[in-house]
Amino acid sequence: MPLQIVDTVVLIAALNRNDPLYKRATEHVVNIGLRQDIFVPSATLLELDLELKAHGRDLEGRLEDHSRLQRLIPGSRALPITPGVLNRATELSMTAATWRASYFDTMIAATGLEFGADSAITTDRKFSRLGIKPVF
Amino acid sequence: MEPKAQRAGEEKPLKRAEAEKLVSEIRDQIGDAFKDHRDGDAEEYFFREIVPMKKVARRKRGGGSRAATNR
Repeated sequence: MPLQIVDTVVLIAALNRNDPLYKRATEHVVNIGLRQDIFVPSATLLELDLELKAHGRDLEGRLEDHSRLQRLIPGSRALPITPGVLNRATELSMTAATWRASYFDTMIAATGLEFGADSAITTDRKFSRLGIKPVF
Repeated sequence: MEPKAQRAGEEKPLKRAEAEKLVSEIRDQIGDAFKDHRDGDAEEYFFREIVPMKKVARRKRGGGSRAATNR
């Protein structure tokens, strides 16, 4: 079964009531726990936490958010950052990544490549340059 | 013995309605925090707020980058 990874923009869109794509993004987030082929890179989770911090969520707020996210995204659906992922990310930085591809995008794409994903659930078209087909 | 994740209830499968409710609850809690969200906010925050804080902490301990590396 081909594997899909989830980009941070999808989690943020699902949690942003001002985002016109939040309903579709919510479907993707709900599917993480319901389907066996959707995985969340650790870099996605880390970037989400930084987004929450960057947008003023305090410790109590983030505690509530992560308590709920823990139920939505089981640990078995998270992909770790491994030395192999870092190796792939470095390769991407040398070859495919441009200044527009962020550190986190590169790490997320590298996780997908390392674990055999064929696509990333994202609205970010840059992923195709990083070797992962973007789908939404 | 049960794995830790199961003890915490983390791996208990949710029904679709339960999962949708959880997303909705987080969205309500967050409110308009992401209203002005732009791609790259997390990375900018990381290098603006977190990396400099570590440098300050190192300076306060009396070590430069080399001292921190050698620790």
